Amino acid sequence: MFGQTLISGLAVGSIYSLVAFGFCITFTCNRTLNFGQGQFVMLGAMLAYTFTVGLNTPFIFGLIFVTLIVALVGILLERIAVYPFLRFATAMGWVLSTLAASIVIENIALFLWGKQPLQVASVLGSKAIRFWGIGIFPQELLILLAATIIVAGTELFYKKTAFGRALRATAENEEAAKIMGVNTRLTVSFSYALSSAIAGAAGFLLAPLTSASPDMGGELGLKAFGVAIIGGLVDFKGVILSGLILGVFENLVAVYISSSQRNILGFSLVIALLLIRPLGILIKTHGQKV
Amino acid sequence: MAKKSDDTWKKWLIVGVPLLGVLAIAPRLVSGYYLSLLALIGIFTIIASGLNVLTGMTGLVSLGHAGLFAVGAYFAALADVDYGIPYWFSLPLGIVMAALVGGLLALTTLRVTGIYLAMITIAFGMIIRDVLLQWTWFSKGPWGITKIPPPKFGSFVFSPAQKYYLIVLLTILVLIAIRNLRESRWGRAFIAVRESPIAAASLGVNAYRTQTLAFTISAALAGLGGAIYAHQESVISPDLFTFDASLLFLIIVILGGLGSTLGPLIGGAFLLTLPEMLHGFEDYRLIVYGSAILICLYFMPLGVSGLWEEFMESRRQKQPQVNMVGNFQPRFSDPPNEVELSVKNSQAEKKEKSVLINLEGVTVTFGGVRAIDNVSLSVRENTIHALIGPNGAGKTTLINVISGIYRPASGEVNFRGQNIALLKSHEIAQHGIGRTFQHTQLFGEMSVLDNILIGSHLGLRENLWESMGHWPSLLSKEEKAKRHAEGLLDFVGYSGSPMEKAKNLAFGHQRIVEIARALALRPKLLLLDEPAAGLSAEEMGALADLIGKIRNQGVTILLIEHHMDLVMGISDGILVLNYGKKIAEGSPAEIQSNKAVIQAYLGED
Repeated sequence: MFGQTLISGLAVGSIYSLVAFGFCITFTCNRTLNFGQGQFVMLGAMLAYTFTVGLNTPFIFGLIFVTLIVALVGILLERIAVYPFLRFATAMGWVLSTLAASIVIENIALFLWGKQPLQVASVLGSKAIRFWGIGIFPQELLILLAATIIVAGTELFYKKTAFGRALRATAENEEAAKIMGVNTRLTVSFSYALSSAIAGAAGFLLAPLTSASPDMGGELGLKAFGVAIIGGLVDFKGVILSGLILGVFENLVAVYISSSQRNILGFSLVIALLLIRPLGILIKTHGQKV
Repeated sequence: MAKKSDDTWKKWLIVGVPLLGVLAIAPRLVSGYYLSLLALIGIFTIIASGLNVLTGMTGLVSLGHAGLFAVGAYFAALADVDYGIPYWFSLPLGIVMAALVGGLLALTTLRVTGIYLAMITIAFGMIIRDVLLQWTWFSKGPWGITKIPPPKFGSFVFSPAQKYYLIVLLTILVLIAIRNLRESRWGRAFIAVRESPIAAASLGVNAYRTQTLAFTISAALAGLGGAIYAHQESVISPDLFTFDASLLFLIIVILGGLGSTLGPLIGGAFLLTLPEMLHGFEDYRLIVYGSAILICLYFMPLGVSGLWEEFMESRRQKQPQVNMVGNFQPRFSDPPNEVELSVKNSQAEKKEKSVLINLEGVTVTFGGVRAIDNVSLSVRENTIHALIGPNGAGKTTLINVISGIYRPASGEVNFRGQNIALLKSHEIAQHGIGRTFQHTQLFGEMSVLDNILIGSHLGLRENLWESMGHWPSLLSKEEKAKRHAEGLLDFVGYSGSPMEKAKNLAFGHQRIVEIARALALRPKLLLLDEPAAGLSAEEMGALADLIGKIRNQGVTILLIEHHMDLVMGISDGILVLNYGKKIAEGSPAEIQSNKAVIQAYLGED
């Protein structure tokens, strides 16, 4: 029972981690993030339905198409709802504009796909695999695997390629990067594309587990934001770990206490962790220097 | 000054009178549905006004106010439905419960601000909504509470029109209270904490307490809104109190204009009527709604009140303006009678030679680096003491230790016989130590006069109720503080308008206004961190005169300065630091001939 809870908690947690990871990518780049990231996951899930059920596209092509489409929407979002708002001194501009954009996206989805939850069959079937008394859906394993590949791939890309270095340079100091010849508009655009693509892929993988509906994104996005914050926002490892912790914790609460207390205790954990380690769970606060 | 209040009155008259007229006859003009829409706008105005105190004035973002709205609504509704507690008592109950919950949340979480606080409030809102859904023994579950009775007096039950008038009245009262609050010492403290927490602390304002107060006020008003809402609509259920509702409150505040009194009313009216206007769009309605918000945010980043201010500004610019001279004039008068610089200056003169502040072996380390290394210093009352040394010698660090920004790793700071080394910044200000900053830290968005008045924050002993009510007792206190502030501005030689925003001041003016602000604290000891940096030669002469005058009023001065003419001309004693260590101490003449000092400044031979 415990092993079972742990594994499905990790699967849910890796979705949180993935979405939160998307927040990190843009935030490290130019200190902004898309508060509507959850709606991008929803978009990925809805498109998964359209491609795999509606158009019968093979899994791998479906995944590629959906990821690309959501990445494009991400680039558009940055152009429309983030960049124009950076000229205002307060951070409130882009926070609210991305939230407003998420209202628009959610309602476009409602208009296109309707209110009803849509079922998407898993490419790996819906029969649980059993070992050591633990039953796991193949889709859950797929999510864990995909999450690992995405995170590791991104890290590698950031560390090993020239463009990755340009991204990190923009993150470090946008002005200096500009002077050194980095096209910072491009790097920011790319970060949004990457972050949105990850959200889209997460949605695509999540759809068979939960079904897809326009309102699935809101709470998920907010939870992932919580995960990103308690992970430390710019600390990739901390964020991934926080996502897994929250996923497992919520599942433990649901199984051993009551599923009705899941969100209440889950969000309480977010608040508690934030107060104990305000800079991120892996980052110890040093002596205060003003 | 008179001009400003004229303008304000004109603005209130132009907007207020026709608005009141329309509101008064509204029940005769529109049907029940639109009447309840108007009532709803009132309720949202109340909630957004509270959020405006938090976000607009204090600069803290909450995305969880729907949770506090819910607390007010549920407690008021349950009190009435389950226990028969009438409207007039369940309303205050809703306010108190929301204030308690909000205050508690603020007390535990306000160690973090900014995006972290936004996250905590989001989580709080989500928790409250799930509590409403799941803890059915309390909340009656997803269907919520029904048949909440309308307000009544004995057997007299309020009709929809009378309920409406009641809400209009409450809304107006809240707006007036918030406006009064904004013009009081509390409102000034809220804005000061937002503009520069460090400078606010240096004037004795406790940032944490101020922010907690702002949060509690905003929670109380969300609770009031909730309690009114429950009795107005007679039904409440968890699906009202979502993240989207919290977001709506925040957008109302932003679109109305951060910090503006009427902003929440304008923003609320716009955002609540917008969906009505979009009825023709049917399926596209929320798409258009979201886009409209996006467009408004883009074109009016400062909200409607920001547009209005810009408009007024552009009109003002066309009128010929008195040229504001940048440099300040050396035209000192003796301070007028109202201006008492120090608490007891007559007494100070008698025991002229006693030690005011005494540092014993102070050491400050930053991760292994000794920024200050075993420095001792004593300054006698009524003297001017200078702190000099090459760049990076640790001068500002030492000032920061005295004013409580840094804590020393070891050593004592004795001020008037008490060790203040471990006190917080605002507590040290309360002990009578004022300071200025190397990079001036005026509250940019506040007027020059309000900047000075923040210095009187501690002296003005008005409480929150006095502030919101604007009682005559308060007005006389405020009037006195204003006269004192104007006297101080005169004393330091400020020649511009006291109503000018501090961020628009010329550099020299910023320096002396900051000195006047520190003096408003009535300090015994004044710390000046490079007061002459960036001043012209003429201004520097005036500054030297000013510092002398301040000393003559019984205020002891410790200053950091690089201009040796100034230092040597006015100082009674000088301490020289290099690499965090004291290398010399003595009178100006002694320092000028000291070999170690010459070496530190000019290098070896």
